[in-house]
Amino acid sequence: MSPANASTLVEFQGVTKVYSQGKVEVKALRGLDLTIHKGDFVAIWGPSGSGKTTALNLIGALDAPTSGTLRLEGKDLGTMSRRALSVMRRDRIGFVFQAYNLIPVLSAYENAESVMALQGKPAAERKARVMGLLKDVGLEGLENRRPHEMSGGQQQRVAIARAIASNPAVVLADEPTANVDSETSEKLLKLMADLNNDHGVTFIFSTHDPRVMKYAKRLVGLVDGKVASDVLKEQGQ
Amino acid sequence: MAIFLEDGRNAAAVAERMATQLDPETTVLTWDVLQPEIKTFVAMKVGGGRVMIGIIGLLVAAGIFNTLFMSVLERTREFGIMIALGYSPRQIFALVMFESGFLAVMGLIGTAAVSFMPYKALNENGIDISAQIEEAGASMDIGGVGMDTVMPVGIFPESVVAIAVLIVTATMVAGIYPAWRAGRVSPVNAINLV
Repeated sequence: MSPANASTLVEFQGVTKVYSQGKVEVKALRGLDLTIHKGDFVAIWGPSGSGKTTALNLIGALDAPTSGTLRLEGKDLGTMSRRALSVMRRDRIGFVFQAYNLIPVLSAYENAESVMALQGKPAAERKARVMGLLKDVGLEGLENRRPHEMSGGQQQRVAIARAIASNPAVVLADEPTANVDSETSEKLLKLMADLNNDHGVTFIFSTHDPRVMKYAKRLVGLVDGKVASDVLKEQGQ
Repeated sequence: MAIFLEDGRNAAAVAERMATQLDPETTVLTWDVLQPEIKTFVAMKVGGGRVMIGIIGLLVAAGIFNTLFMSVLERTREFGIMIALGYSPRQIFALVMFESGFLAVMGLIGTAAVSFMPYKALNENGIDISAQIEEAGASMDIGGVGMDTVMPVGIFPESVVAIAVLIVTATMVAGIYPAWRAGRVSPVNAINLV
């Protein structure tokens, strides 16, 4: 594992995360040490309960570590205010969720545009960016459809467009192919791999889908909340 | 000599002005000085009415609170997604408060639209309670003053403004807790709700 440097995007140092379920404590992460670099296309994989979704939630500033240090672009997420974390999520992080999680009352265009609007980007810039992205993800002509009028694959494409519209430093994808068929899954992964190759967008997946692992350039295996393996694949492997 | 005014609330001011302009030996008395029984009766009616308005206001606020709170609970996942995307708790709070204000204004407009025609009819015709008075074997006589059995219906413009302000205020106050709670949604828990 390489040390932290200018290309370091995410850095876990002895991170633990303990959830309380009533009187029972569940240790989701047990001293995780992991560094992810800019431009990575990395899959965090492992069995259920290994801590992969927890790791993604922590990187996404959706949850806070119980102990240890987690840095995103050099900033210690554990010391940031709620407001600063909101800004961090808005400007530097994109999310692709297993269940798509589009806003049901908004159209495909409005969903993809939502984060840019929140950033206060001008309408003309938003339109140019979002229309281009929807074309890139194969949704040209479907801009006005609401989530319930689209297939799962189409919704996930909107989610991908939304995730990258704001030019985030990293896109976090939690089981992005879990709810789509094989063909759609391949298309989505190809789309994200192209965004990584062509635009340098960093993707971090949480998955146990072999298809995701096939596309990933780096595989980080978690077992019991710790890194059990970290493999950098050769190009094209 | 008896003088009838358009608005009885002006009686004291008119009497005072008349007293300064008339012969010092002429006494100007207002209705409530002449008929303290009626003053007491009116005060009781107004006081009772205010208590009723207060109770109705509380019921309205409780209804609005329930509506807003249920709306927030039903949209927990949506708020979780919005927080994950970068909305701050303050922005979510402001959004729900805006919705509360919008609900209040739309409610006022709707109420005005629905109640205008019935009000107009009542304002023109009054409410005839002669049958009830007759059935009770009573007479419309208070302190020796005969009252009309057709009760006039009217609302003062300042009362309309006061009610509008009260409703908007009650709605906004009722929206504070649901809005605060919406801003406190945990995205990790909310997003997993399907």
